[in-house]
Amino acid sequence: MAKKMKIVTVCGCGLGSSLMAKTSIEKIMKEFGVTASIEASDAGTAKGYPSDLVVTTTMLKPRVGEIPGTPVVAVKSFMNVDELREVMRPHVEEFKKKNNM
Amino acid sequence: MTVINFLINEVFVEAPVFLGLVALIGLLLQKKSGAEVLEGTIKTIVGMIILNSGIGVFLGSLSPLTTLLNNSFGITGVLPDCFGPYGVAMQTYGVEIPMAFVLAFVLHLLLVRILPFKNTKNVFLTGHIMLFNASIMLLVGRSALGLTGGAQIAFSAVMTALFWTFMPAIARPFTDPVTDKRFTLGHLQTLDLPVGKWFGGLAKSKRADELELPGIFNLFSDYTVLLCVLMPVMYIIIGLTAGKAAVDSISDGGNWIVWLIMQGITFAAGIAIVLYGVRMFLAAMIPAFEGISKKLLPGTQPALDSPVFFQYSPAGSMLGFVSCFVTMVIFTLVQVAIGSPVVIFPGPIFFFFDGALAGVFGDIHGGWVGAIIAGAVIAIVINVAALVTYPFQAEFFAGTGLMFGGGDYLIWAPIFWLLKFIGGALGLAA
Repeated sequence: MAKKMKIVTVCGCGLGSSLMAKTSIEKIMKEFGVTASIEASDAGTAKGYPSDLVVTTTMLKPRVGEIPGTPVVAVKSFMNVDELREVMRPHVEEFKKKNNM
Repeated sequence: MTVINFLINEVFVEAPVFLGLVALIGLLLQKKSGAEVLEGTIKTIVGMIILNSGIGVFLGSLSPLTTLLNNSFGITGVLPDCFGPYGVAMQTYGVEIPMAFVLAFVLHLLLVRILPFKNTKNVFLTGHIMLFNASIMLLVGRSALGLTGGAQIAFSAVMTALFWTFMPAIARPFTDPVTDKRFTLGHLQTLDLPVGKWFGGLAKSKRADELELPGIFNLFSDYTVLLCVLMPVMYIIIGLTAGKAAVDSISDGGNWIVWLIMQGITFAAGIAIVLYGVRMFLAAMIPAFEGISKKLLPGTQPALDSPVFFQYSPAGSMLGFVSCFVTMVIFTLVQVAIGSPVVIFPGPIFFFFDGALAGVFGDIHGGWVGAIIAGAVIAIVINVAALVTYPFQAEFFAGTGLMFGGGDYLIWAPIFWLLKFIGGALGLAA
């Protein structure tokens, strides 16, 4: 079984816009051909939750801060699929390389 | 037959199981793999049990406070909130709420499909607000018309579907120019938009983002952090007003100020637990709702949670939030001063999210001064809405010090009161 990429989306409460981002990212990951498990969360929870990539908004990025070993990327808007795809691309490619996909 | 009866009367009436069942259907509709369906269903069931324990945590910290108010001042203090009251409502209506929620969504899609208006072509997808809507409409049905059981669920489903169909339609003229018709607002905060445009627009000042705001503002972009800072402050203020003796009489000994602070933080922790519980269920449901609506109603705008608008003016959202908070504190103090029998506390979820959204639209139309004006005006809208809808909830939430708030209920209050009048005339009201 192919390795799953774990992605966490972060918004203020972890149930509004991060859930919308989750649906968009699901589609993006299908395009990249990588299976992913995606969790919507708030900033605090994201820090303690092991993942391969954290996606948040530029407004919340300072709140998420640095997470050792996990890249954190930010978009201006969760509703912009193109923006999401572009910020995620390098990290997804790296994940693919690391796992010989 | 016995098996079916057993399932209906013994298993599905357990709220966590029923919620899990709804999530299961949602996941199956998304054609998820077997493992994912199982995971999502189990997480929803566990989430509901987590939610139940969260209620205990924050009620345990809220009830001493309301006791203090009642004993020391003879006033009823209520905190308008969403997650807290939802948790309490789920204890009584654990099956009714998700039933009304699902039914309302079906009705909502139907309404969007058949109504000929351009502005009603939106699908409401802010899951937690949808649960709160279904809950408050159940309470109104009971309180105004004395409904129970199936009739109560049906009433809530119809009212909730109307809410989801018409509130985003009101938002559309305000959001279309801002979002370029990609999405609109689906919330209890629709009134933030006209308030931002009409009141905020009275000002002519430079945009909020051109100001340098101190970094401390960033601390408040996380809801749990915000609660942990503000709730202890609120507890201390009330504690100081009541006096040490009054606090000692309800605390477990120990230093009274420390006790008040800990109660405030415990409240925040309780809400964080409830949030976590709600998240599990919504993570299973909302993508399903989104998938269904995209298939059945192509070309509709999604009506989304308010933070998706904060990007249009991050600084305006901060100004709006602070101004809304200050106005709500003043509102509370005025109520205490004039001896109002019901005192509305500043509801953190409202000054945080509503204040911010009003600030965004205030800033767009009137600059940073506009953001501050909009935050202040929406504070009054929310608290007046709370006052006029409290009678429909007072009995249900008696002793908890909580109620469902939401500025948009100001538009709905006349309908609630009309129903109550009809209910009273027909001798239906409970």
